[in-house]
Amino acid sequence: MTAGPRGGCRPLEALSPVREPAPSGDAQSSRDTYEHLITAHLDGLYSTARRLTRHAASAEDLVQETMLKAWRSFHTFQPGTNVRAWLYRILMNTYFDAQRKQSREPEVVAADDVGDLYLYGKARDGIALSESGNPERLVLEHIMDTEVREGLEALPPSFLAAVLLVDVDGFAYKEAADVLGIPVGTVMSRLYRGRHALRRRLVEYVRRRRLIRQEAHLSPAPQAQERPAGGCGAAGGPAPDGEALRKTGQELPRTTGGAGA
Amino acid sequence: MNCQECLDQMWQYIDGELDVASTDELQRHLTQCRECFSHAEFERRLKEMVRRACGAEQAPAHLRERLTKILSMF
Repeated sequence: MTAGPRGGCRPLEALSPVREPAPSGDAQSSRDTYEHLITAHLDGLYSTARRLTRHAASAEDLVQETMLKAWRSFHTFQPGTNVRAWLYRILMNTYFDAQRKQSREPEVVAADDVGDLYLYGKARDGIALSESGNPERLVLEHIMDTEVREGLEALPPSFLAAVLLVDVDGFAYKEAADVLGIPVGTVMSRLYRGRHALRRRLVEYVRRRRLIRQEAHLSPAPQAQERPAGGCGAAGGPAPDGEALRKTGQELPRTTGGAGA
Repeated sequence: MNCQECLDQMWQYIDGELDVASTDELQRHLTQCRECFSHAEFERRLKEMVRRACGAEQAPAHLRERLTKILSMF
């Protein structure tokens, strides 16, 4: 299945943070205010851009373009606007616009590629860890930050954007939906699938260190029925097509981009 | 709430997206189910690990200087 607009973001014209122009005639004051915003949000925007683009130079270009676009409409800024979300919207729009220009190839992610391995379940199966008394904790301690970053950067862009906005930047689902210009249910779906895909990759990192027995690789994905009676056995979190998503009325996206956007 | 229902809502719970009633119900289940409690702790720590590993990266000083310089031209 092919992807549609991967970002699903709205045109920049729709991103204006204000309803009416602010009083003109104080360019220096406006510039000072904007410089203050740059100071406040530059690191966060750069971190997100760094993960999105995977390269420092590209991240700098993305942030610079974002800031320039924001500045062009900043003269209409009004206090009280969620300027952080506004800046992230411009960042995401700029990123996905560039993605669309660079690649005409649709991005395809098979539904089976995500969610079939769960780090939590695998961690509990680890022979090397089973005598420790707290295998999950050891798994967490053996995953390095560089591996987490690599795992994230390997995600499809639309999944990556959702995970970054919620898990790293701390946006609420509704805010992330506004940033990406997609429904909340689609954010949840992309977030959950992105998290599963990340966990799948982290499993590979852990397995390389022989912390997880090789036999686990051959066993089927953990299911709810594998749980011991009366307990909650191996699983990695709510399935992406679980009740939580059904409540939103959103269909599960089967590709990274067009789904629900 | 059973374990599957707990799993279905676990990420929403960890993300602080559940309403008060659902949060209370899920928390009650976590107090009664060691497996789900462990799972929730694992997910919470993994989320924290992702945030720590990927957030708070400082923008290069030259980028900040470049932006200020560009801005001064307007």
